[in-house]
Amino acid sequence: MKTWIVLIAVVLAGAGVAFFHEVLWPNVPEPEMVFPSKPAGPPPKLEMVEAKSYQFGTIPVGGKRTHAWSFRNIGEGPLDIWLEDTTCSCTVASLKAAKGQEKTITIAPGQSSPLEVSWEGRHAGRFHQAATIGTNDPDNPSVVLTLIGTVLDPLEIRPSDSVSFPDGTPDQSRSASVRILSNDRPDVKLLRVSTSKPGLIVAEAKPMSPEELANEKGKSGYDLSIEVRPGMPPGRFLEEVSIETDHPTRPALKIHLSGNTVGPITLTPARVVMPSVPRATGASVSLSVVVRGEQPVRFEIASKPEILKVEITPETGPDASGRFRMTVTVPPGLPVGAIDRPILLKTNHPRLPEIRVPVSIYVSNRS
Amino acid sequence: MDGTIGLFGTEGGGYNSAFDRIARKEEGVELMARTDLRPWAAVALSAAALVYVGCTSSSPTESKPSVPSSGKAGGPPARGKQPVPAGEETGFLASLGKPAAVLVVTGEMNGYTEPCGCTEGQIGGLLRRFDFFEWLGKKGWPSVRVDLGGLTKSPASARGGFEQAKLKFDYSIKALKLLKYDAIALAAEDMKVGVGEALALYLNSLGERTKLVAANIEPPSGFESIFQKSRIVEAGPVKVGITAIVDPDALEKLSDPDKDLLVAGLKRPGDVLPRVLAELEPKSDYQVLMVQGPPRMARTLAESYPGFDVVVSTSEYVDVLTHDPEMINGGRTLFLQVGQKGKYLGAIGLYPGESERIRPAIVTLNTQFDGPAAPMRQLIRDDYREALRQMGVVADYVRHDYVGGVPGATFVGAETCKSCHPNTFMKWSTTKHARAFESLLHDKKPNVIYDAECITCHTTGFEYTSGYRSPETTAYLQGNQCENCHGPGSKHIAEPDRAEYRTAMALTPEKADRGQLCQHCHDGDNSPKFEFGGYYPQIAHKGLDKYDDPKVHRGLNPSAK
Repeated sequence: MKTWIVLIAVVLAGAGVAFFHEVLWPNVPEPEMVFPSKPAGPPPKLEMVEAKSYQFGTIPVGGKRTHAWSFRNIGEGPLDIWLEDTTCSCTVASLKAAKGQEKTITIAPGQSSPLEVSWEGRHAGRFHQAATIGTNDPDNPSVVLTLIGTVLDPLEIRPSDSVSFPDGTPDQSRSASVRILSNDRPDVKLLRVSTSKPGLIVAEAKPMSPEELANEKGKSGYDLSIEVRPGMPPGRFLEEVSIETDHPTRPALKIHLSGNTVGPITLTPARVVMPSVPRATGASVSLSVVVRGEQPVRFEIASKPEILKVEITPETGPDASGRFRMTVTVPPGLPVGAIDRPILLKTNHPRLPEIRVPVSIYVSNRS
Repeated sequence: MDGTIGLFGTEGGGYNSAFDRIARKEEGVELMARTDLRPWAAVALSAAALVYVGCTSSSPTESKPSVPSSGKAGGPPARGKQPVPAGEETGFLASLGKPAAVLVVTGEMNGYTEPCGCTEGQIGGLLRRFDFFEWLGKKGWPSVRVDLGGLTKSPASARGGFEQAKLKFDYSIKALKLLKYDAIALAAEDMKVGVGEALALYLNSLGERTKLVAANIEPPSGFESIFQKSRIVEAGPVKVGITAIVDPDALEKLSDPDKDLLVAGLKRPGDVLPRVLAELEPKSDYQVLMVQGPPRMARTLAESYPGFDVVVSTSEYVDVLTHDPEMINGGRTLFLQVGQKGKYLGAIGLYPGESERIRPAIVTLNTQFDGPAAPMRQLIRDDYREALRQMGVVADYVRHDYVGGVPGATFVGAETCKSCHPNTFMKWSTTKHARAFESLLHDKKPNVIYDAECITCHTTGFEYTSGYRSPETTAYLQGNQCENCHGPGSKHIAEPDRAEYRTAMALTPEKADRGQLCQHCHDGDNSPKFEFGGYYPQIAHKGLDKYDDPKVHRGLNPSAK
């Protein structure tokens, strides 16, 4: 009995300690919920003379640039600075520490310390990199230092290395052009230009005139015309132009070509995808059906999954000629499971008597 | 004793105050060790620990948002730090004080529904955006939610291809509906999925509350229910008038057969904004203009129509230039850019009737917003990737023939290369390149092997006709193999001594570096620290094999994979 009394007393004492522990050291919900306290002694004061944003201007790909900011302590207590955060790829060497650790620099009153922020331009384009420096100056708890500029590609494709062709029919020719511009060499040569569909996609390069080069502010360059010739099969295409050059740092370039060869009737979206339809409510989706050309077209739903409701109705309005709306409805109360049998449309169009619409529907128990 | 200390240690682990507590407990243990009550003390401390843990710890699966503070990761060392008393707020919540309502501005997500790239430590993502809104809800602050558009990037340049870009666009719309957005500005960039396609997806996925807004477009026939030139949204006691402008030149430049749906009723901004503003001003407390065009256009419109309290512009840079938003027109107008890739959002406190009518904050969507976000997780991880699987975007990716190598050559797989290059194969098999596909199988996100954006850099020859298609048909091309750098090898393995075939596959480190070959996958999003000189030694394989065995010169049958 005595043992039990002692045991209970000890447990209660322990619980009491725990209670007072909670009062004395309140629970901290997240490690992030910390902030610099007011220093016990005289406060530090940060002074920065120059602007916190620095313009690097233009740098080449692979070029590394560093800028040093001066942090001066004009207060009376020691000034601590540490790295709080950086964007992906700039480095602050003097505050770099082992992974998972933090490093602090302390600047005595009246003293200054340079802080170098470095960045290497690995990818062409404009950049804006930032390093957030934390301090124990109560008036400046954090300082954001930013580096701004442009990484210039020595051999650039303008406006872009992705060329999107307008939709066209299989018997149409389509063309586009881009410029290949050297920003650093006056005599770049294109050694070989080839395409992924040599018979149907043709690319030809022609040197730019001095006036065009002056306008584009390039040292040398070419106009590259790309033609998609008649005969492209129906459907989306994603092709490629490959260029070999004598540029010492850009021996190869690629241009991505994309487009769509359409038939006389198009459906958008081209399929019915409903990955999670709540069985309690059901759901519906509509597809836009566009008929190209003047011929009037009639549609008939030849086959469909029995449990789906499918309707095609003409659009109304001033610019609705040749436009239809197909509505697919999943009624409520269907059993959980997949519906994946396609919908088959019959038309009276001489070149497209049948359209198959893939269906991917899953009826779930989700509310 | 160790067990007792361990209980305290694991409960509060990871920050200094916890270590302080442990130190105090250890001192206590040392004292107790010299008394006869040691066993009792162990029991007492254990019980106390249990009481303590039971009172204070929360379940890791508990559905609550994370704790936002200053929006910054990391922090200072022990000196100068102290825990924040429970309930005290820092960061954007504190900076907004007690607003009557909050205007939340996002935009230019550019297809980054999750934090950019596959490396750790990135910021942004819809899960964190969801968590942010959870916090707003917990505060009880009414909010108006607008998005500048630019949900996706052009399918022509999307890594995952056309179908995936469109599907991601659709799920981005669904996500904004889930987040109860009030308005999305129509963006020319979003129309690049196809004007008809984009409008159909908006029609299917927007819902009742969310509207597509563009003041200078006549709503196309059949889409009137989702289109508005302007709208007024009530948030608590505040009425906010919202409108948007889309750059007419950007719409005109679209190469889309359906662009007349939009262009037919297209007007210059100056022809419509005076009237729209005049309609909004008497009916709303605040007027907001979103400009889907170049930043200089937004600035010009902001200066020309100072009646707008907030003008949202596209951003010149991915990251926001300053966390101190810019006031123009003599402090009358907030000119706001929220960056790209969905990394940040603007939270603007609204205080009608006060001298400071608006108070903006830029919020960085970092790990502090890593709450459960279960509904958004279901949508953009589970449902979206299930749709990718069902649609077969990887298997049906639009492929093309290889350019630049030996004409007609096809991909054969590393196991075939091993026949004549065994030591090189052994070296490769120890690298992360060899385990690239396996790493997807272990990804915490579901169905990653059906995601073309991921699979393109974790398999071999993905975008080419004879490259990777599926685990069932081309398992021999899983992982990042020899032919991704050297080109397809079928011609070379059939005639190994033919000089032109060997030349076509030869690749020196210098050439790879100069041609930026590795950057196809090791790009700014997915490998921000990539640097050729530092990474190449991990895979260097020059001169590992000798070719003095006559059998390596005989050739192999390319069809026998």
